[in-house]
Amino acid sequence: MRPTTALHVVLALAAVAVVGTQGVPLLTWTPQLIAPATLPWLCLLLAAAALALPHAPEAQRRPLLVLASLAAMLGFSPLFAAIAVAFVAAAYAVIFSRLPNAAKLALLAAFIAAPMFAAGLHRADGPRDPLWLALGGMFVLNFTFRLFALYQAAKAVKFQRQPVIDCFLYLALAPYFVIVPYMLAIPRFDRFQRSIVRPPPALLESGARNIAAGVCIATAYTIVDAAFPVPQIMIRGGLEGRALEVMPLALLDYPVWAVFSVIGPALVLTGMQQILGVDVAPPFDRPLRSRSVLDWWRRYNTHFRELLVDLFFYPIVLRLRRRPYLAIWLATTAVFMVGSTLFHLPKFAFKHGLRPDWGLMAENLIFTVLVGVALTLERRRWRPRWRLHPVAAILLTWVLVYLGVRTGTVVGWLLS
Amino acid sequence: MPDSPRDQIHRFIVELAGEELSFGDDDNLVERGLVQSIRLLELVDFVADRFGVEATADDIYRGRFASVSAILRFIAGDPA
Repeated sequence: MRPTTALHVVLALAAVAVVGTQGVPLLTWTPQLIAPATLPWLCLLLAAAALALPHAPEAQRRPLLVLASLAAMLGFSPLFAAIAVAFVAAAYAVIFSRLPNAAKLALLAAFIAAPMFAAGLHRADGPRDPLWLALGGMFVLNFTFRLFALYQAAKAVKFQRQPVIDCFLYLALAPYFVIVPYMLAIPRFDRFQRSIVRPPPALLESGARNIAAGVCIATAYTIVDAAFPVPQIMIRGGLEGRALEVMPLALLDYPVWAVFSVIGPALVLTGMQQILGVDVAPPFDRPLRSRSVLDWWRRYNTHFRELLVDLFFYPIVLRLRRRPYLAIWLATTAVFMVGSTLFHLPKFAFKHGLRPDWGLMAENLIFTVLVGVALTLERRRWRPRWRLHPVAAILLTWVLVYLGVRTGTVVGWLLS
Repeated sequence: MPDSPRDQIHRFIVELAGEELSFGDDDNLVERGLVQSIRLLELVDFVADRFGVEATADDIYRGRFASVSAILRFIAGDPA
């Protein structure tokens, strides 16, 4: 490893520690669950692991990563470490068992649902126990997506048994459970397996760059948001009867504001994995350049989208190959109404207790229609007679995305 | 002489895109944006109808439609 690369890694992680402890939300929902004071310790551990790994022989890389992960877990909470190890063992036993696929899926869903319900009921019952919510929240939020991504990867190779150490690392690698990545930066299991043993040469430098970029974007967002909080300005304007006056800000609200709020943390999460040798790309592919809702759906949070498409879309459309339009609508409904709703449930349950998330269901219903129509037109090879100017197409996409998401928000408010 | 499977697949991908394209056998069709979601499914249909090889969702996940070379290997029954 070049000395400059090592320096870049150390500086990037130092920036995370400094800025994160000053209240910049760098690691998605982490500040809701663990104290920012934990960050310097985590960054130190990550730096030590990232700098040691390139000097380790190939055979030693995985044990080293396991050690770093266990150290981070124990530093956070010995109870969490014990639960996580038991969880990984149980998940491994289920995924690579001889049970039918439906039974495996039901058991995996139960693994997530049980603590989710327990925490939801616990919350509804009265005073919250911070440790229980922190453990439960991190446990459920952290493992949900990777658990099903691992299932999908295992299914694709007909459940040939994979090394348990790889599965443990996939679910519990050092930064994961401490930074609550939720649905951002989910690597593919096969690529993950290859890269933790033989990472692409430029990964370390790329990781440091992504962390640094993420810290800058998240810091800039925090400063601008404090001075000009668009969502709050819009809500206040609406409540004070100035809806028309604040309406143009809609273009800045969800598509721009929400994107910038999440791109910083997503880059930090991606970079933190990359410096440990995980081959994962940032999950946003310039979504603000999208020229249609379909384009937006393909560029926004790509890892989560790929997981939903692999689990729900392709299996349905390929089974109904001879009835393509029925297939498109059933598969799109499954992706949004079933997949997206189920995957968002744990977060909602932890934030608001056990009750239906009407807002999310309304949002997903709108996106089912928007994406379903777009896919139907694509299948029919429909070409509009007129062509929108690219800037107009981009703005129209922002408006549609805004309407879809915020209609959901309003429905959620009205029904909650 | 009839077209080779490689030429047929190349031609179909160009038809799907609706414009003249330049791509190699090993180029990743999805990453280059040449074939996505519905177009990818049309490609799967084409391979099934023309060459009699039915694909599953797991084949797509494993990248067996990621490039022309991968599709040719899939048609040839290469398990890789």
